[in-house]
Amino acid sequence: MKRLSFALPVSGALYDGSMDLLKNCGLSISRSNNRVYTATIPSLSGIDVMFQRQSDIPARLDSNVADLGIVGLDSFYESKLDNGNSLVLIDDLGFGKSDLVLAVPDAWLDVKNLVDLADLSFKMRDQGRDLRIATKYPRLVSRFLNNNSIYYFNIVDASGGIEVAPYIGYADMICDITDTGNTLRQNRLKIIENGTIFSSQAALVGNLETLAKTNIFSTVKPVIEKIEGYMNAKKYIRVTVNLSLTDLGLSSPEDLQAVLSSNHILHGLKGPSFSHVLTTEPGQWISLELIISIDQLLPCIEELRNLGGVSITTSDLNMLFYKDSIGYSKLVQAISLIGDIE
Amino acid sequence: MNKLNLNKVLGFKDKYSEEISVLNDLNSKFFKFTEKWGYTQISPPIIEKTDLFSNKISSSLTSNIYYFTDPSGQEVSLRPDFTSSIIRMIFENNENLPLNEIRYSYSGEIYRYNNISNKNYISQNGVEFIGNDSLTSDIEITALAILFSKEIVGNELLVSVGHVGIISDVLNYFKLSDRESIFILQNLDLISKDNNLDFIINKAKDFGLYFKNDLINLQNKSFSNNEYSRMLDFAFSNDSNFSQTREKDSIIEGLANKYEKNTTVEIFSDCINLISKLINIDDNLEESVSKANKILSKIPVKNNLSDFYKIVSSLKNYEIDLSKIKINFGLVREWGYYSGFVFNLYNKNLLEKNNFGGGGRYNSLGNSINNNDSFPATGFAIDNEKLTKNIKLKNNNNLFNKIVIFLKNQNDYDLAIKTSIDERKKGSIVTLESKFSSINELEEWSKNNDIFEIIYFEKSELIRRKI
Repeated sequence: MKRLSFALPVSGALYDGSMDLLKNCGLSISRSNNRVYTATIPSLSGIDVMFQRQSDIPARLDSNVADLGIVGLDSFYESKLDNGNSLVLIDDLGFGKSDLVLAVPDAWLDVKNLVDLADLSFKMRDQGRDLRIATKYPRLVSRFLNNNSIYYFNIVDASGGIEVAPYIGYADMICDITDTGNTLRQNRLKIIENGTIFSSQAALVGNLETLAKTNIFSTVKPVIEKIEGYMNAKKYIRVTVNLSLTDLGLSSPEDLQAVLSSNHILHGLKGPSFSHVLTTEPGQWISLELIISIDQLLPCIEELRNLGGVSITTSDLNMLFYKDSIGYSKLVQAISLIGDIE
Repeated sequence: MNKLNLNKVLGFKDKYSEEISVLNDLNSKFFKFTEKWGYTQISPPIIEKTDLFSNKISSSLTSNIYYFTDPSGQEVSLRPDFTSSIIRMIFENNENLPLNEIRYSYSGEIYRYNNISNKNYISQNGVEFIGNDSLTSDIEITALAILFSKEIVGNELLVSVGHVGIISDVLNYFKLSDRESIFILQNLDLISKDNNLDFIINKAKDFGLYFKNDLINLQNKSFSNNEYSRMLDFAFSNDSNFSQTREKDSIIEGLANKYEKNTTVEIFSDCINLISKLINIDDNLEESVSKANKILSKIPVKNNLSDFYKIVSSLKNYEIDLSKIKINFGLVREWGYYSGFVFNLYNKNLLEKNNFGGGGRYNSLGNSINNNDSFPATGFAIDNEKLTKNIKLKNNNNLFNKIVIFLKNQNDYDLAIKTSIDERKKGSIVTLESKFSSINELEEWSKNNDIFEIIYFEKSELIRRKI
């Protein structure tokens, strides 16, 4: 019986992020030591984990060696086959964030944006040479520049220390990933306007052809559900508050509905739930519980205070599941397009 | 262990006998035809150094080239066109340039990744005429392309002709920048339709073009070159290598150009209006040239227009029916590559855009590859598969009888071999078959496979059965 093969990055920020994510999803990895490149997920049977260089993971998927993987979107789109079987199931795992940017020397005051770069490429062409761009993303860079009507350039394939390429002279400019831009600045480079080719982060990707096999298709569902449930939960927070109905001039908790329905911040995911508070304080007290978007927390607290809310507490959610799993539905739909599940 | 996926690479094709036979027949016709015009056959390697193609001597986009590192570590590419290789051959094998006229013909596949059409190769026949800058070479190439295509397509052949030089002269007259010109050349379809000028201007701005009017508020930011120089020295005083791979003067020139924009929206609009009128001309040669002459009355493009007239009108000397030639001043083929007279070949079953071939003059090639600007060239290429689609070419195999010798009994083997040798000497195509269980079964199969005759043996006696 085929087991699901799950490819994870072997090192770096994507390795740490993957380990943390899977642990938080209840899918902790069991690996005997760091020099062993295989592992298991004890809480789910039927899964073999393999550790690979992240740049190799798209190829492992396209060659049907891996069924599922976590990979940076930059590596994925640079390396995946255009007509291959791999598909992004969840594109925002929240770690490994970086931008793929075009950067030129600081002193090129005449090159501020992509249009200036196009002009420069023509000018260099007239002078008998092409703009040289050092990058380890030749495919993404070429397509991006061609799509922006920049045709006269040469890609210089480079894999490390790219930032120094213009200074030592083997390229005129670079295209590389950056998180904060500090390394670029330290190497006297500046990111040009509209020159962000791609904003990348870690993603869960799957192989349509191999996942279509019945026995591993059922194994992949809990992985997607748990990761998606955890990622959903990170966007929300649970808020509880005690309110005095008496002070609000209301006779029953249901009367609160009219007050809350006019306030979208207090509506939360599906409207608050309530329970009675047993207290020695005078009047009728209830406890409200809301699930709200995390970026609405402080406005929500303010609104609750305005209603006379006290003892406001918050707690994180572990998992949040919607009616359907978006990632799983995407997989099912894509598989149905290429043919029936075996 | 996973089963290996050994399907062919998407965008390529398995060819079988019938198609190969048709293409071989086409190639044979092509070389015989072009040989009579003095073209000698050459065959450059399928792989060249990547730099040859990434140097953009053709219009292939960097993202479309198949490139890889060979086992020696050399960066190489599958050829995306023949012309680059041919120019390279000439530079590499001839010390004294320019040479006399060179006429080459070629045949083979070129490779360009195309994610939209999902066809990543083109089977081509073509010619190059190098070293002649006169109209006679334009006329010769155009006539050769038309007459050969007519041999294959017959009276359904249609041709459209244009001249890149005419549009280039218009763009130069209005002093448009490279990017402004490219926007216009890339959007001739849009301009040819009755589109609102504001719509086109807005599209140009989305493309990143800006005009003098946009810079009115920035005029005060303009400085002299000396001031720019002092600013750079001051800002980067602690770094002697601040300009890195560029000269300081190049940066200063770039800064100065940013604030010295000559093109106004009005100038740009005038240019678009004029080009729109020009490319919408749809008439016979005399009327088209006459109308173009009026439209271009203020613009010094008379030489190119009169050259255009001379080339097209001279085609009748080759007994070419000018009524089958559509005048299209918007035809530029691959912009940035062609520089003069251009043409497309198509037939009634194909739209002009889906032409099966074409060509024209591309004088800037030598300059692109070797800074050699005295390298005039013209040529054409034909997409063999498009050309032969829906066209019944003579299949040479049909000229010969196909005979099957049925080996029912291994004892007849020696006799079968001797018979096959005799029959092949007579010109037949002979195969030996031993898999069929009976002569009747073979006869049924033969009826569907163009077999002329079955030969078999009964008690060592040769028996023939016509199908």
